[in-house]
Amino acid sequence: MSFRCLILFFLLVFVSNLDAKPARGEKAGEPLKKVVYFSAITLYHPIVMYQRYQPLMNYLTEHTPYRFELKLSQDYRDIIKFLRNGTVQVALLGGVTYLEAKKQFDLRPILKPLGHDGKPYYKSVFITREGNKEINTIADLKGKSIAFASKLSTSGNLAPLYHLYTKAGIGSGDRARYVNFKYHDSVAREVLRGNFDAGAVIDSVADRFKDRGLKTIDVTDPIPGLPIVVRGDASPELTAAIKKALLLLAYKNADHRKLMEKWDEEFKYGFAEATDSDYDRIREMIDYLRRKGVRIP
Amino acid sequence: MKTQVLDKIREWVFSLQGKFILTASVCILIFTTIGSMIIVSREKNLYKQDIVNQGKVFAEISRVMLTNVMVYTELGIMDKQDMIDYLDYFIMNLMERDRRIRYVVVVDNDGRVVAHNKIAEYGYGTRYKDEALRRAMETLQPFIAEEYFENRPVISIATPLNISTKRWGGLEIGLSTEEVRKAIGILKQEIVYITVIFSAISLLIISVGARILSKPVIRLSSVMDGIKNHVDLEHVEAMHELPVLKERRDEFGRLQNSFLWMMQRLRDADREHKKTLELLGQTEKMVAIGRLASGVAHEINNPLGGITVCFKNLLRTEMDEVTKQEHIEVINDSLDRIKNIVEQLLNFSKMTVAEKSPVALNNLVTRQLILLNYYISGKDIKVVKELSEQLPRLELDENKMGQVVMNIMINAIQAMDNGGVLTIRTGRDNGFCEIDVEDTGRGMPADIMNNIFDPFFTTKGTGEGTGLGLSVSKGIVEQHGGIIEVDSVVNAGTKFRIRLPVT
Repeated sequence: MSFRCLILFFLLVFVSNLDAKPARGEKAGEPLKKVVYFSAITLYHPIVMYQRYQPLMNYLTEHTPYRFELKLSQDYRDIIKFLRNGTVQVALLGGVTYLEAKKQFDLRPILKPLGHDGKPYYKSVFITREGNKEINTIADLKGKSIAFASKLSTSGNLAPLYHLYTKAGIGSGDRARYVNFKYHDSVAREVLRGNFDAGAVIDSVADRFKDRGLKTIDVTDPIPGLPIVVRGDASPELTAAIKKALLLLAYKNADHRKLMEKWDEEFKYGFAEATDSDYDRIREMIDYLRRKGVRIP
Repeated sequence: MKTQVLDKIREWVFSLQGKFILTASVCILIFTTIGSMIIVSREKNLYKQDIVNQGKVFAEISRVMLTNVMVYTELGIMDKQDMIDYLDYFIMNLMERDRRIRYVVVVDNDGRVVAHNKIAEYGYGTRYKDEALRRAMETLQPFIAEEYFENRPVISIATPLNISTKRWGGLEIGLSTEEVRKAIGILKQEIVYITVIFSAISLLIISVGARILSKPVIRLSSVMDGIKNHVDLEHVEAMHELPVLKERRDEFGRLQNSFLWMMQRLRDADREHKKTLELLGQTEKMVAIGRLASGVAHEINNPLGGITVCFKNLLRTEMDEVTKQEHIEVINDSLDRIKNIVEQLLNFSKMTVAEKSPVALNNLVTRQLILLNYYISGKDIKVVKELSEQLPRLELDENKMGQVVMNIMINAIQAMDNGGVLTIRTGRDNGFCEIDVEDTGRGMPADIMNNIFDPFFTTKGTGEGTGLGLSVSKGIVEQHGGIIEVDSVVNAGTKFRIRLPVT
């Protein structure tokens, strides 16, 4: 064996050892788990998404026979694409994204997160700078520049638009300027910088920026929780395993709470079973806006 | 009360123990203070260097990452909003990971804010003025400065965002030095505690040590205090056996040996002094006898004349037995008188070994007066005796004390050339027995009175006095633990008072 072959041999051994390294939640010596790719709508910048969603992946890997890998994309549309072509098998979507995807291929909502009150709803919040004395109610937003999250976002676009139309009668022509940003916290920061008079974000983001100089103007009606969906052809074992692992969690249980405290605000209070009809309310809002001439998405 | 306390403190301060403890305390205080200052200064520098190094690492890593972002944005891989989002998250993450980071700012080439942790205050495009950042961007080298951010101390690490001379702006990270200050504060506190505790322990050990060291000196001093008179000096040999003066190998041992040697020399000197005093006393006694001699001769002469006449009559004249017998009796009486006179003189003059016995002062005085009468006869001097009956017997060397009384009485008579009254008085006062010898002579002026007890001081003509009489008298009285006082008025008289303690 030549010296070069020897080096190649050692390199191969080293690389194969690296591959064989067990992932978190897997025990050495156990057969390798089947990988399931999990995606989520990018409420925040991918760096933050990885920080906040990876603990959920670890939990699922530990409590199911699968190894969960987080796969993120730049925007909401990419996630629909990933689901359609089978790149990911499970995803956390927004209401609008779910309905948009559902139109294109078979998809099933299996779970929805609970809010801090234990109900499977969340809200959208209108925010402005603390020092802004001109804007105090939703009606003050007339003629003001407003920042929204992604066009496919339910809490960052659909629900606030619907709220503006129905509660304050503010349509697209009544706003000085509006821009859709990729992430909810981009909206919050843009408002904080003073680039926009107001913004609409998911309640958890509004909460996080409360002490950083933003105030709440108004809150929308409850929105059905973000659905965790699987493809229509997903194996019943996978669906059952995910449901079993996540429905087991109860925020009131001290041990569970200790674990869930590290998770993202969106799903740290636990989960409830979801059905397609839960999102009929979203369908109504989309229809309403369409009638008003606003296309979602 | 306050004065007593002050006196005690003063006494302690000037004691060997006090000086030792004070010196040690001052030394400990100086050394610990200097040591503490050196330690604190070194630690301060280390802490500072440490935080600067950490800041440099932060800045260098951030520089590499942010430069990449700038390149991606320039290439269109990221749009401007992506870049701002990235910078915001980067800053947020950085600050979450290290709570010492007080601020992070990224500026473009014009010094306008691209991202800042305080989003609301430093929006995109705000002009950011900072000297450290300006210099770093100018020199394309990291620049470190100590500054204040929101009135709190920070170390600002500014670094340019560049690849070679291509630049995109700059980055500045402000690291709080409050923790360093706190750590140094805690360190100072700990050092103060340690210093105080160690100083206290050291002082305690030093105090005990000083006490142990000064003990032999105090013991030696108490032994010295115990030597009160000539008798104690005679027991110097026995001192070697005292447990407090046991043999030591240190400096105190040398001091003890020196002390004992000095005591021996003192005892020898005392013995010599005694011998000299004896000799001087005897000489002075002879002088007194000389003064008494004419009176004594006269006193002897009278019976001697009677004896001569009686003998002549016995040899030359026929007489009856009765007359013969009368003559013989006269001769016998006269011889007895002569014998008495000579015995008294011999008694006065004999050399005696110093020995004390219980003596009645009045008898002592009366005996001296008998001898003195021989001296007074023919002079116009009246002797008055006022002797107290309440006197106890005193332990005295009778012969020597008699010499003292005689000496003073002779001086008194000599002061009364033209006659006068000599009053001899005995009495008791406050633990002392007193003998007063008072004359009505010419008295002495103060300058003479001050010197009369000095050896060889005399107011008499050459050959008349030795100048040792009163000096010897004083020595004898003091040997008995007494004192001799004098009071005199010129042309009115002089009074000597001998005070002897009642034993």
